[in-house]
Amino acid sequence: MSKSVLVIEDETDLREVYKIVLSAQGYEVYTAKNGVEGIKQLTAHRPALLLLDLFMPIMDGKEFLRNIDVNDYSETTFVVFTNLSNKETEAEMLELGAHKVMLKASMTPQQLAQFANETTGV
Amino acid sequence: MWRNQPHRGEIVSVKGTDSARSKKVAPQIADYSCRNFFNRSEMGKRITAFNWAKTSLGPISEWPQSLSIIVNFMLDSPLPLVLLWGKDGYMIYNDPYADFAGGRHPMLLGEKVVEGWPEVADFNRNIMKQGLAGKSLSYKDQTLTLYRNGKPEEVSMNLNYSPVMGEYGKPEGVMAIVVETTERVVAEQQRQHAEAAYRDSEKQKTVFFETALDAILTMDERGKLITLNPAAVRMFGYSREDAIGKELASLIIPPKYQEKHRHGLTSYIHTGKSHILNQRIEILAMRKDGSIFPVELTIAEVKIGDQRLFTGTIQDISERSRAAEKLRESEARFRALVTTSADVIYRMSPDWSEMRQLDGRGFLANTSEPDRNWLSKYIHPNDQGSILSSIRKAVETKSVFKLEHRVLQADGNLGWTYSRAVPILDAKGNIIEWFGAASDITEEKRAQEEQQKLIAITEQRNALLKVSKAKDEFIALASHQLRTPATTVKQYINLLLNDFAGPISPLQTKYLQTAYENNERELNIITDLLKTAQLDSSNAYQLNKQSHDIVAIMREAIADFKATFEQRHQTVAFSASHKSIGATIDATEIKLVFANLLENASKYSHAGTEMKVRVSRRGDQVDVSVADKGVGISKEDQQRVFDKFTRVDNELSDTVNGTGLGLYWVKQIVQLHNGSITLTSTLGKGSKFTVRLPRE
Repeated sequence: MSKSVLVIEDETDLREVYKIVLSAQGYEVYTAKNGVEGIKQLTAHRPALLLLDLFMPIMDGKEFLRNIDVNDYSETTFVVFTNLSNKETEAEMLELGAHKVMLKASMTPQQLAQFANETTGV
Repeated sequence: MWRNQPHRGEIVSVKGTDSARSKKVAPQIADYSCRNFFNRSEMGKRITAFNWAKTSLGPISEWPQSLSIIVNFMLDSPLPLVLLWGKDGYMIYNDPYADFAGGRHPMLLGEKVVEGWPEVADFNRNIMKQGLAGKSLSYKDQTLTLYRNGKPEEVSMNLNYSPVMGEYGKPEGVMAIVVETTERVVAEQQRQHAEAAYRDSEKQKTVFFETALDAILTMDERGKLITLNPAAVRMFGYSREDAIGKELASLIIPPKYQEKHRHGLTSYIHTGKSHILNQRIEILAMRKDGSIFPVELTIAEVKIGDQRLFTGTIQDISERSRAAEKLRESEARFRALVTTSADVIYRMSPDWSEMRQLDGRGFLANTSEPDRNWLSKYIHPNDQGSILSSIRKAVETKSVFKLEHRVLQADGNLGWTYSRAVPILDAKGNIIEWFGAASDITEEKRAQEEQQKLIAITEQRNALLKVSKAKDEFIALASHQLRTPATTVKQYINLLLNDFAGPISPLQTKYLQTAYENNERELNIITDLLKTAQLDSSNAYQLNKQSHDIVAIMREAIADFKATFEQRHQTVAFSASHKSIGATIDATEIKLVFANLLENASKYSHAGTEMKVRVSRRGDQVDVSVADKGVGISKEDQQRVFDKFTRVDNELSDTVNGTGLGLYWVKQIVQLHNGSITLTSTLGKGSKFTVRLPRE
């Protein structure tokens, strides 16, 4: 069974490009456009990797992390994938249970794919 | 020594010797602080003559000033006052109290109160105990059995006891105001009897005559009483039967004035001249029991046929007088209390136009001559208006003046006082003068002002922090918003370049790469701007300082540029004074500093040149220098290379990309580390940047 990735991202174009790239790597890609949808998808699919945007309508990334307990999903790597880069935000997200914080703008699709492979051990 | 506050006084802690006491005499007021009571009154002479040395008070010459003041004050008072001084309550009293004491006077002077009045020893023991504990006591119509004249006597009194503060701010005596009310109590009882009699009476004449509050009496031209109304019965204590037909003068006029009355009436009958007819006059009247009381009288003449009758309307004004007395009483208490505790004592003319006297006690300049310029002399210009309006109000209402205001101190500084003054009234209720006291509240006010300043500064700081925080949040959000579309562009161009949409031609690849690189530049600029904004608000910029090896960090920075240097055929000569040099720094930021210096050295040097990098320990500091053999920087440009967005024009600037922010960051980061950066450069020969960082 192939590994799965959950992309929680409100920008349709970005959601789409990540899906294209990760699907091409053989991942089962689930998407959600806000935190609420994200929680549904997370509990339904328990992905190996979760990419979480911060700024989103309805429920943002921070609220998402507050509403779940990452320890309940030991099989999932939680990555905050955002264009908001400052030390305070990074520290806050790690405090809330995220495993890693990455800057979206600095990643090419291939780098993302490579990161996914490394993280999920494919 | 007046004040209780130790911060101003010179001698505070001395409580022992008399010699120490006599030295600390504050500026004196003419009247109250002197120890010669002689010319003040009968009691003044007695007090002066008394051998106080045999009591614990000691000789008068060595009395504390507070005691002298209170004694002087007593001697001036029309109220019966007795001071019970010290823990034994040695008695010192004034003339009115001597009258009250009857046969016990003058033995009471200098006597312990408990022994002076053995019949009420327990009562007085309690008074002393409470008074010295700082409590005021007040009894209205208190009846005690006193042996004033060798026989028991029920004496009714209004008694007021106030603690009197000594030199050290502790009660050292009790001031008693003893107003005998026995006569009044008797009169009150009689009035009640008369009222009862009146209620029984069936002989009511006209409603007005019977129920009038004023006494109405009518006499004929021989001075014989013809009628009197119930109010007159109540007022004077005579029944109608007793009074009618008797001569009015002998009934209700005090013996002293009876002849005058008879003469006045006879004179009027014969000459028709009168000074008192149809006028409101205040005189003294006498009750059946011989007691004298003040009344207001109006006499009108009524002619019935040949008969000439005179009707007098009389109003008892002893209540009015009592009210005035009450005021005097409270004024006396006020004086007694403030005189010992206030910093400034003053007296003012009735309308405050003239200051009659001021005892400033070192806080304000003294005034012993009447002074009409006191307002400008003592009061801060900004407070003169509020003072005048408070005065106006107090004068109009004859009530206490109270105000906190700024004053010009004797030493020329600005101070604050809490000032209050009471009107001193004559028997008719007119203001004779104002007696005032003011406390020096400069220190309290200053403390208050300091506190308010501190609050204001804190608020300002909080507001600034809020603005700064809002700015940071805005920058963070703006950079995020700018990045999102550029990120999307980056991802899609990348998809195309990687044949996700099918194979592309070499020319398509070239164009897409150009688009991709420019998009990358935009992303870099956004990142640079964000970094700059964060460094700008450097107080919000958090360094993550830890112990690191500076030599190792420089090696890493050089390694990162290896490809760039090779591409430009440039070499780096690296040396270090020690194998490793530890320093407490933010490694990420310091590496950024090194990277910028290396990048600049490379960019502004021609291909094939050499750069020298050295890290050397200098005690508790470390110097890091990056030198190149590049284009150099002119003297003028050296001044501004560290400024934001500065790009210096030179032969290589066309080929060099940049935002002009690199050296600005370098300087900011170095300064955040409490370090410094220097530049030496010669145009056409090269530049050398040296960063000096503290190691701790």
